[in-house]
Amino acid sequence: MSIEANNISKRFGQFVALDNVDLEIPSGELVALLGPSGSGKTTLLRVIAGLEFADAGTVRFDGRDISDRTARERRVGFVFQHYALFRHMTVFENIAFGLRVRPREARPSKKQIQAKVHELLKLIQLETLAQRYPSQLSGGQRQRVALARALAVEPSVLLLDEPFGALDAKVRLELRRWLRQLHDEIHVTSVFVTHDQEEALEVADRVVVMNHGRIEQIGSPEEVYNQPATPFVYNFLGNVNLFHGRIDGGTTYIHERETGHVVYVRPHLLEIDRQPNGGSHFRARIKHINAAGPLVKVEAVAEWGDPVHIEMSQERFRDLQLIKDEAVFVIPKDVKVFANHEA
Amino acid sequence: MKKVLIAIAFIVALTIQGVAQSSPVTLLNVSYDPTRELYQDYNAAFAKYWKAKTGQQVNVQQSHGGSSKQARAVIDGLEADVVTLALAYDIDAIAQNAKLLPANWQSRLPNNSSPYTSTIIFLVRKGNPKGIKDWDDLVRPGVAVITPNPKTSGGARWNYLAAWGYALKRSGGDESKAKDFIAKLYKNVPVLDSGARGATTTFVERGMGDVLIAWENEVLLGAKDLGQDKFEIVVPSLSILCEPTVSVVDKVVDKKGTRAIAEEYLKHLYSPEGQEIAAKRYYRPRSEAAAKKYASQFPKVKLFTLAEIIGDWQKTQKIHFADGGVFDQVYQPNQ
Amino acid sequence: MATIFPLRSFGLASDRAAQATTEGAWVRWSLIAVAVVFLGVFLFMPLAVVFASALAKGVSVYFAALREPDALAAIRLTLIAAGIAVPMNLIFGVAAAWAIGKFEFFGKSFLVTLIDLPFAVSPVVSGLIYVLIFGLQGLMGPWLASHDVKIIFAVPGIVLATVFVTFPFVARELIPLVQAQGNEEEEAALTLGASGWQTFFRVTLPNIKWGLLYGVILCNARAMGEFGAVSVVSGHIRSRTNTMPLHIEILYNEYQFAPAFAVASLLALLALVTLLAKSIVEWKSRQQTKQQELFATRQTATPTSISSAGANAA
Repeated sequence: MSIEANNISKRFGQFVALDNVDLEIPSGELVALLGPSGSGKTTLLRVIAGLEFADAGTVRFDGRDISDRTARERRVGFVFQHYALFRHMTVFENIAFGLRVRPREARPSKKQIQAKVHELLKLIQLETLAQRYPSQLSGGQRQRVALARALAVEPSVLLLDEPFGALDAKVRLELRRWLRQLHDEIHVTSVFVTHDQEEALEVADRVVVMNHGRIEQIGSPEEVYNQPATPFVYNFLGNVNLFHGRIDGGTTYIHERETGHVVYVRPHLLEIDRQPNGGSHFRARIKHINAAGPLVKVEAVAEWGDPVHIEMSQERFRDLQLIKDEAVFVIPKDVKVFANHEA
Repeated sequence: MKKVLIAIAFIVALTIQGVAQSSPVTLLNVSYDPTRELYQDYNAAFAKYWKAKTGQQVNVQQSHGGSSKQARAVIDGLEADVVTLALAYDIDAIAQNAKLLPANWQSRLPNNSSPYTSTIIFLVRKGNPKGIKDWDDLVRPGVAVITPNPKTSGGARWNYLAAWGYALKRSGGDESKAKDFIAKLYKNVPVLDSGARGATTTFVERGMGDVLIAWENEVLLGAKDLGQDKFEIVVPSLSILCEPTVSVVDKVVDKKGTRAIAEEYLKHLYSPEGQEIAAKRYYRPRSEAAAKKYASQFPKVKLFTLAEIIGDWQKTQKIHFADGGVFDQVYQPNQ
Repeated sequence: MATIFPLRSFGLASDRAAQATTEGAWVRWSLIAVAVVFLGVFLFMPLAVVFASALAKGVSVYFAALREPDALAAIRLTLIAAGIAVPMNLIFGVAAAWAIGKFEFFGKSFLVTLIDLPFAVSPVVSGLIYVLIFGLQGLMGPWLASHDVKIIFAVPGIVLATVFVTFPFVARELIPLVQAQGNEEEEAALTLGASGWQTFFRVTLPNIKWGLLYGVILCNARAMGEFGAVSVVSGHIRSRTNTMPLHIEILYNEYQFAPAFAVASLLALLALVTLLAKSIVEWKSRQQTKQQELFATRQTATPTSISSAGANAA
């Protein structure tokens, strides 16, 4: 089922949570709403779910206007950051809840419910824990139960609010891969909120980057990472070096403060060499080297005094044999320039 | 939810049952504390009498408490058919504040609407260790006197007025001497209870004080309950004639349609049967026949009336018990 | 792991506190001695006196006192008052806790203050308030009298006064509970298609049931034991408007000590039953929390591998 949100605005008192947001999600996609806290991503998700009502704008599912429908009528599956499992019910009862509360004529038989719950328990690999209470489960298990509970009602869309936010790093990594696999299997239109850019880039078909109640960019992970539309997106997705500069006849000059442009360069797009190699370059002095990990992270000071972060492969690092306090040349391979007022 | 419904149904049933039970004619007699036994007997006798006379069943309900407090409750809407209170002043208050009965209520029944009387006497500890014989012994230093607060208790006002009357008579009508006497007396009071029952409990149960000033009927009746081996009755040479008063509450009986039976209820108090019951419960009867029959029961004591020493209750209240009155002038607590 | 029922501090916190104390033995023993003496003098002794005095004149007097019509009427009236006040406060308490715990609205803090009012006001004053409103000389008195509606000096007044003084018990118990639990479970129920009632009865109520029960127990104890406010509005009509505490006072003032204490012993029994029920409720909720904590730690100690689970699922 496709989701369409048009001109959505929402205020909480003086705070503008959503400012005229437009978003279209095609059926079957897995979309991430990415942004810092307070960017409006959770509010947008709750407006889509019907847990909040927008001050203005419309929400459409498959073209039908459902703006005035309650959460109950929208038939969305919602997964909460802190699971929101019913603490006094077993895992089985939690998953069966959505089926049990249906009006009598639409309610499946006891047998059907049992079959459905077992199918879902199998899907989340927790068949042996059906009679446990939520407090007897680990965080990752709970979140899987929450997901199964949401899926039990066969929702038209699946909405997840920071689904991995409360989990520790390792479980989080495992669970998000599992979610991706699950989605590939069941293909329900899914939207999840996250503030973790890595998570968004790894899991989603498309990423919606939000800031201050507005959408900054919508695109595939590759697009938003490699072609950031705004300085904010550039900044938010991955590490970045920021220089002031000037464009003059197609040439970028960095470190000229009064010129009104900002230059963004990702650390891995800066190269270090002992020779200037003829192209664009600047001088720097190495302050610190961190060689632990797949990439070597080098901290240097540019000739005008600003810090510069550079990343290189272990191989390149071994070739160069850099040492602390050494003077080197830094060669930008790709930069992105924005006019100053945008930044 | 079902349980709650059952509980509610149960309560409703109980309430309905409660209403159904009171279907024969019901009178409410709002009275003061020490008349419980009197009216227990009298209500039974009256019910029999009324049944015989009219064939109608009557159920008289009782409410007892401090006389002034009871008057206040009637003023606030306690639907008393009749009031039988410790002093006329309290019924006056009902007439004045709530206009539930006419101002001349007291003239509607014989003896100023006071079918029985009592007086004020003393109770001392066994063997009378302080040698208390009369009012003068109460003002001696070192004698602890128990009497309640005349500001809040009807009985206490009678106690006070008995002492006042005694002092006034002895000094030949010198009010300043009477005032001195009262001042000395209340200096000997270690604690002022708010009601007569409270004072009795203080004396009897808590064992405080050497002498209790109290209603004669209370002392005579209580002597049995309280243990004759622990206390002795002392009768002063002179005391006051206490006249508890009764009245129909006109507005209530007219609304309820119980005027005839309520009036008969009070009138019957003056009948030989009523007088005898009062005497049995140690109230001094008005009728000479009953007085003669029960004479041995009541100690000989010379009595004076309120009218003799001060006048009516309105005047008494104003001079003695109102704020800034004689009692306020002479009584300083904790001295 | 969060505790499931944040029921005030109860015994849970004190257990931990005890382990943490490092005071010398003599400090501990003298504190225990003080507590024991205090309890003995102020609790056990009076309780023993009540039962001893009640039975002072023998068992037959004891039961005669309880079978006496005035006593039966007083017991019945007490049950009626509590029977109405407790369900009313139950409904009010849940509604108020729900409103205060789950929503933001104008005048919320004022409402919270208002709920506490009966705790702050002397019961006698609460009784007088009703006299001032419904008394013959009061605000609504003349109107009520002309329509022959009796409120004070009758059962409705006693019920009103009882409701008023017991008003905060359930709400006070539930508000922190509801606030601590937040909205998420209810929202989850809504998205799963549950109606408002279904959400309340299947999700909210089970979560607050221990706190609710605790509040109801306290509310009932107070409703049956209330003296001050009820005394003011009662009118003390025997066998009609006397509750048990009022009946006890009357008996006591009539020098009928054994019967007075016999009826008092019923109230004392009620207090004991209340304490017992309260302990059971506390114990049960603690038991549940402990058990769940235990399981939870076991679970985190041996986490199942999710990636393999995911691989199988896929």
